[in-house]
Amino acid sequence: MSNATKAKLQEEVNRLRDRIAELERQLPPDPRFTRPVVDNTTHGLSGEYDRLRRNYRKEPVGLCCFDTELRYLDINEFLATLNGLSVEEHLGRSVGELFPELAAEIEPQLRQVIETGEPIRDGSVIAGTADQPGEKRYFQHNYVALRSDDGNVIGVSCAVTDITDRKRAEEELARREELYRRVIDGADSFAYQLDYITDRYVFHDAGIESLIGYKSEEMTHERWTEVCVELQGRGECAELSYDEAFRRYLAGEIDVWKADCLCRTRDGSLQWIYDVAVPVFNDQGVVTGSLGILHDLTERKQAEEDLRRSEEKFRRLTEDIPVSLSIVQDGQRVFTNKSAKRVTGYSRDELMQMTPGQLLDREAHERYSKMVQECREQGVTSRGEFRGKDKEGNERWVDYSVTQIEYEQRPALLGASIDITDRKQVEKELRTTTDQLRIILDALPVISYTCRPDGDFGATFVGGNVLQLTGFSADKFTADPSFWADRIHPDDAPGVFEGLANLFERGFHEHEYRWKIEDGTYLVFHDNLRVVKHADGSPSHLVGAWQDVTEGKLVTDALQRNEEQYRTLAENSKDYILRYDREYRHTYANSAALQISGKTAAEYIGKTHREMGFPDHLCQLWENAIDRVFATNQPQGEIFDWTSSEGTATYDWRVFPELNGAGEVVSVLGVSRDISELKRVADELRESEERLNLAVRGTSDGLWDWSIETGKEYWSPRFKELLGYGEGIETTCDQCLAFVHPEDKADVLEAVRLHLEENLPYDCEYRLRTRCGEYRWFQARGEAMRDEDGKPYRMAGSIRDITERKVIEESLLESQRFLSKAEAMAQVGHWRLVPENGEIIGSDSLFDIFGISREEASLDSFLNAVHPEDREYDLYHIQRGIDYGEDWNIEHRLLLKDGTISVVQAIGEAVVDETGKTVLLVGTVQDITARKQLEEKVRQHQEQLAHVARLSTMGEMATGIAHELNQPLTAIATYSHIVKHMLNAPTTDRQGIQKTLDKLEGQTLRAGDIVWRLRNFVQKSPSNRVPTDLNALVKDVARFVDSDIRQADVSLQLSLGDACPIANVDAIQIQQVLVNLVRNAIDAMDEMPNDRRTVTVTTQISEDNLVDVSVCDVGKGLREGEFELVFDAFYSTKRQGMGMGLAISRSIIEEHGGRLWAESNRTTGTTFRFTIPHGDSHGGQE
Amino acid sequence: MGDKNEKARTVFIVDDEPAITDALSSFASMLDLTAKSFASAAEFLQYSESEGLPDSACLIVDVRMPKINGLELIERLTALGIDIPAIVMTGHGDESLRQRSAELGAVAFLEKPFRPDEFKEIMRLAMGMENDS
Repeated sequence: MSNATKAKLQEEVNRLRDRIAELERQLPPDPRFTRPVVDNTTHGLSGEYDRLRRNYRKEPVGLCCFDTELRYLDINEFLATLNGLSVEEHLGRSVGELFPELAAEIEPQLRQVIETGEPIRDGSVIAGTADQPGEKRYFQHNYVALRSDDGNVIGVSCAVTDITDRKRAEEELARREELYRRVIDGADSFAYQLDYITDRYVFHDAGIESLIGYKSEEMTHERWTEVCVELQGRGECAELSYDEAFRRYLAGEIDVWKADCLCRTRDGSLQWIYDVAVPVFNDQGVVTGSLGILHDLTERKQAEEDLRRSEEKFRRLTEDIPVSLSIVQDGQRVFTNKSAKRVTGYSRDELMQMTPGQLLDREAHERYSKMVQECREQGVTSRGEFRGKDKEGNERWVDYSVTQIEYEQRPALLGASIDITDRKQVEKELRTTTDQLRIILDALPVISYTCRPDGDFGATFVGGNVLQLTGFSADKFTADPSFWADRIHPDDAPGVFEGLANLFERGFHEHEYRWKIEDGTYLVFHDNLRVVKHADGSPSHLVGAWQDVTEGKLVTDALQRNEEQYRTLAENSKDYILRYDREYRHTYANSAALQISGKTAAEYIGKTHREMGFPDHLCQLWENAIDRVFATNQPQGEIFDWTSSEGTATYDWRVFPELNGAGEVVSVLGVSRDISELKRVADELRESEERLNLAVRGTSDGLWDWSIETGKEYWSPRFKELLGYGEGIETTCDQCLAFVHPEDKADVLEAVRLHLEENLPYDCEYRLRTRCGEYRWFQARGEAMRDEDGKPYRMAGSIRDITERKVIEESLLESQRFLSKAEAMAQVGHWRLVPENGEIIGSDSLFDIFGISREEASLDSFLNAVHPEDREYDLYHIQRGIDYGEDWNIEHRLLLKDGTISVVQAIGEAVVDETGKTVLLVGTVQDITARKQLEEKVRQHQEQLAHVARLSTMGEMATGIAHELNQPLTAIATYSHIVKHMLNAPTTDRQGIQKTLDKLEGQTLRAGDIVWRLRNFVQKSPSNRVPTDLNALVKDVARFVDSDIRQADVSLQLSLGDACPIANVDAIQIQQVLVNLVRNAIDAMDEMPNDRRTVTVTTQISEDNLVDVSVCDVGKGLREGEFELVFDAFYSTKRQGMGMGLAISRSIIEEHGGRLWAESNRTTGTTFRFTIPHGDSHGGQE
Repeated sequence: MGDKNEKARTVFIVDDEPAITDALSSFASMLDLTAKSFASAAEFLQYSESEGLPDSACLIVDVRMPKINGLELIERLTALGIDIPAIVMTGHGDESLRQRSAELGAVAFLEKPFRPDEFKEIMRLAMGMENDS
């Protein structure tokens, strides 16, 4: 029976095993041992006791009797041999004398029988035998009291049976059953049959209780609709609401009902159950019921749910993250998220039609293809930056990484692109600006530099023109932080550092000091510094302009000595040179100054700025500076913007005192220089740096910069943020390592080592502990900067939080692993077949079941593993699936390469497109060999049990049957005598002889018929099911029970339906059931008056097309609660009878796919009714 | 041998088994006895009440029969004061049945199948017939 269930099988096995044991124990004691008490003086029995005695000695069962002193009165040879003594050696001696080791066990039992007179049926002894004393064997002892005529107990008779083999077989059976039970775990399905007319389950597998907590008899269709809280149609029911699906099903439009049902079991838990059913039609073609199977698929649902959830999560994440994702399978995009549109400008639909190549530049495409290939071949995650064009034709840069994943169970590539166009543009602009800056700075006589805003003010950048001005290369400054400070003239140094201390308050500073150049001489340098700040106001670095003003100094000195010389110089200078007196009046203006102001010398000389119409705020500025020079005798300087005829420019204006011989300031010389370009460049530099900072902050990557020599690291704010820290965190290499997950540390260090020592790319994924203690996954990339010798001195790079991706990858993997594990456990494999190209994909379990390797995967190799006799059958269903889109559910055998034969249940479903063409076949294959074997074993048990029960019934019926047989025998003997007499008569009455012989023959045949029926009934033959007319069978049974009927003075009525109730049955077994039911009915009416005792046997075809047979009595009826109880083994309402009949009858009927139950009659008595499938179509599902 | 003798040689057979009544009737006829068969005790009681029984007759009765069994029949006859030698036969006898029939005064207790010779002897004895006739 293919729908037998684990629970049911197990229960069945247990029940059968118990029944066998109990049955054997309860078999009536051999009547031979109770016979010796018969008074042998009575009629006809003399000599029988002696015969018995002779046989008794030779019985292959141990037999003995004891007197009341527990001495052997007699013993047969069999038992004597077993004891290792002769018969004579036993007689007259006690057990204690002969076998002291057994006395303790046997003697109390003997005494008990003598004292109580009650038999002991199941005394057991474990002992060795004479020939094999070492081997312990099990013996069953049956003791019966021997009584004298007056009823006094005069001894005990004892039968000893060696039951060792049975005991061992039982143990072996138990062991095997335990094994089977483990094997069949995971195969849960229960059959039911539902009648819509009565809203009752005609049949419901008892095991249903283990599934939903309700007993099968409690189930109604209405309850099922309550239990089933959610329904997902499959196959034909897919996409339909329950009501709609059910309506169509009742209308006969749906051939197979398939649905996943979420059921609330009695204890409230939820359980997924797969319900597959076919409608049952009545004669008019109306659906009146369902025949179906419920299959527990909680585990599968959970796996599906997990998978779906992880996929959903994956999708949600992928939709929302700003990274553009796409999945490419077989060169075709199969998935792309929303972000892709933001990056490319193409809609999702457009993208699905495009290959990645269409988006990329030719150069980028080649690199991309190589990268994808590498990813595919080596299974590594590859990444690169690529340039392409968006829909508008704008240049776009993407950071693209590609990973191999499994998508819908097939390999695919997951590409993630981040739009880095902005970053690229910033980088490019920065490069451009920096280049321009360099060129400008190098061309100027001013040395530009940047330096750290604290400590030794070590230079980080120094303009290249420093070499020609100082004789030192720029590296000298940057390599040695104290190089600049050390070479300041000792007299000037204190003032220099004092001045710098105020720098940060004002934001800028200017000073002049002597500085020792390469040839050892001191030059006077003018140093103008500015603080460049971070966004938060903290100093980032200093930008400065360093100018050799020694010459200017010399000029001034010389002027004092040689006005002419100076004037020449001044006139030729590009700087604007002006001289002021104490009242701010110009006393000199060089030609450059006149030119830029567009005025003549006459307009300048003797006039103040105010008089010339310069703006007030500038005039104020200049006047203050001039005042300070006169007051302090020190040079002063200002930077200001002035709009001349040539436009607005920024000027660096310096004013120097001109001293007379007495060292008093007599005039002030001002030198202005247009520094607009320099300022612009510096501004731009700051601006671009800020933009870079912004870009850095904007990207989700954290940046780091590790100075290998100092171990210090720079972490960008984003880096810290990723770890959950603010600015305060100490950023060293050690600190960073401390955050790395202990399991990943070795890998990280190795990756760094490989990069630094062997120059392999640094790109690794590891976990970092965040502030809250949680570990998150990061992808880190970086590159070292190396000096001329290739020695790395610095390493910088980025980290990216990839936790979500990891989690997704992990959960996908997890759910797939889980599914495959679940499959392996249930020995279920699944497959997909594309009919168009014959491509077949299977799960690991599938290959295991078919015993072929993954490399061999093809439809042919799978078919080759199918048993040759079943191959055509299997292929037929597959072909139907392809041609007509039909689903199938069949059982067939496999013949594996190693010769083993297994049985599988193969379920296939066709997926059809809108034109009805089958585009895909999917299915599962479950190895049900173990289940089949167990079913077979159970069937054998059942058969054996039925046979034993028949023998037992026969024993109970023996009296009646003997009586029945004696009737014809008496008649035969009498007729024979008459014939003899007639032959001896003087006149031969030929006609009379003929008539008598005819009667004689009739009685002989009658006797033969009885014997034949008896032999048939007790014969042990394998179950043989053939279409049988139940009416004929009932008539047979009526003859069979005739003697009981007559003995009990009961009338037997047959009410056989007109329709021919044909069923595919084992006639003997059904006969057995009927005999049992009729005899029960007779017994039930024991206490009724004779004239009312009637048993009625009725046959009919029920409305749901079942053969319905009932046996009705008018007895006292069953008590409430007994209707099910009577079917339990060993439950009996009768004084004699062991209560096995109904239990066995039920198992026989169920084995025939039917049902047996009891119901109360309206007036009095009970009706036992069974139904079995009509016709020989039974087993269509199997 | 007059009417009386004829009447005295009547064998009444009571058994619900037609094969037995038929065979035994034939057997009685063979012995020149008149045989009368009844399928139930009730029929025989009714007959004995309406027709009366001959002085010398013999009753062959089966133990197991519907409604009134063979032993009950003998009891009732005794109670009615009808004294007729009864031969009890049974398809399956046990000791208590044998004892009971003896207590009721049955002349013989036969277990089916019985030897026709034995039956003949018992019947002759019951009918008080000569051995050689």
